[in-house]
Amino acid sequence: MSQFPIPGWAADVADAQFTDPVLLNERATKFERTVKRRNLVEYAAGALCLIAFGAMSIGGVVEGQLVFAAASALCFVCVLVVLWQLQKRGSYEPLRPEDNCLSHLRDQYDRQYKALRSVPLWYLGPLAVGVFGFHTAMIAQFAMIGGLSKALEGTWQTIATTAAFFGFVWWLNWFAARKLKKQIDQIDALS
Amino acid sequence: MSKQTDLYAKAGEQFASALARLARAVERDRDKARDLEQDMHAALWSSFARFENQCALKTWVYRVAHNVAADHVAKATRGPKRVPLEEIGELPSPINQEAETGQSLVLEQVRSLIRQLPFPDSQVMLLWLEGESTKAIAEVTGLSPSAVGVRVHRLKRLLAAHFEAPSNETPSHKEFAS
Repeated sequence: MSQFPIPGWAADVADAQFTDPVLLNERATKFERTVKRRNLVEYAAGALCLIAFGAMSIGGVVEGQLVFAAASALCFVCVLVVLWQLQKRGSYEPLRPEDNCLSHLRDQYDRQYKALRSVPLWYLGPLAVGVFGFHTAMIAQFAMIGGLSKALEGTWQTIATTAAFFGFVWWLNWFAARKLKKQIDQIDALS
Repeated sequence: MSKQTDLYAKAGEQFASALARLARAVERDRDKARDLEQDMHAALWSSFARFENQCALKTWVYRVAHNVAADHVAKATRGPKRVPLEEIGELPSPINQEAETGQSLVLEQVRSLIRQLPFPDSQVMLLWLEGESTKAIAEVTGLSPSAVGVRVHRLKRLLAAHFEAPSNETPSHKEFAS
C-alpha cells in the first residue's frame, strides 16, 4: 500500500480489529427483530382499519343500510389493497454493497425515485377510491331522504378538504421524486 | 477455515484500521461511529459469501465499507450542508477546537472537511488519505480516473494552501504538492 499524505492519519486507530463473526450474527438477529417489530406495528394498524370497516359493513347490512354497508366494504377492500402493496414493495430487496460507489448511490436514489413516483398508483389511488366512494355513498343516502342539494350542502367542504389533502401528499411525493431525479442525472454525468 | 472466514480474517488484518478511520471521519459521534464500523464488518462478512475474485480484495473491502458509510449518512436526519470540493475555499474549523492540539487538530479539521463534502468527493478524499492511487480510487468509486485526478488535485491545493499559511503551527506538508 501506500504512503499517507497526512502525517498522523495512519496512526489514528492503528490498533482497530474486525468484529468477531459470532457477534456479527447476534447483531444481524437483533436487526431482524427490529424489522419484524416495525412490520408488526404496520400490520396491526392495517388490521385495526380492516376490523373497523368490516364491522361497519356488517353493521350496515344488519341495520338494512345497504349503501353504508357497500361504502364500508369498498373501504375494506381499498385498505386491503394498500396493505398488500406495502407488503409487496416493502419486502427486503437484497443490496449489493460491493458495487462501485456511484452505481450503489444511483441504485439507492433510483429505488427511492421509483417508489415516490408510484405512490399515487399504489397508495393514494386505492385510498382515494375508498374515501371518495364512502363520501359518494353517504351523499346518495342523504339525497334519498332530503334531496341532492341538501345532501351536498354539508359535505362539499369535507370532500374539498380531502381532495386538497390527497393533492398535497401527491405534490410532496412528486417534488421529492424530482429532486432525486436531478441527483440521478448528476451521477450519470459523472460516470 | 471456510473461504468466507478466511477472507474476513485477511481483510481484518489489512483494513481494520482504515475502516475505523472511515467510520470516524463520516460519523462524529464516537458511539455511532463504532456502530457504523460494526455495520461495515457485518456487510463485509456477508458479502464475502459472494466474493469470487471479481476484483482485488482491497477494492471489494473499500466498496462495501464506503457504500455502508454512504447509506449511514443518507439515513441521518440532520447533518452539515454539503459543499462540493470546487466551492470550498478553506478548511472548516473543528467543532471542539480548544480541546484539540497539534496533529489531532489537523486530523479533526480534515474530518470536518470530509463531513462537509458530498458523495463522491468525500469518498475520493478518504481513499486518497489512505494513500490509494488514482486508479485504485477510480475502481472503488466508479469515477473515471480523470475525474478522480481533478478531485485529488483540488484537494492537494486546498490542503497545501491551508497548511502553508504562516500562522499555522502544524507540521510541514510538502507531500500535498507531490
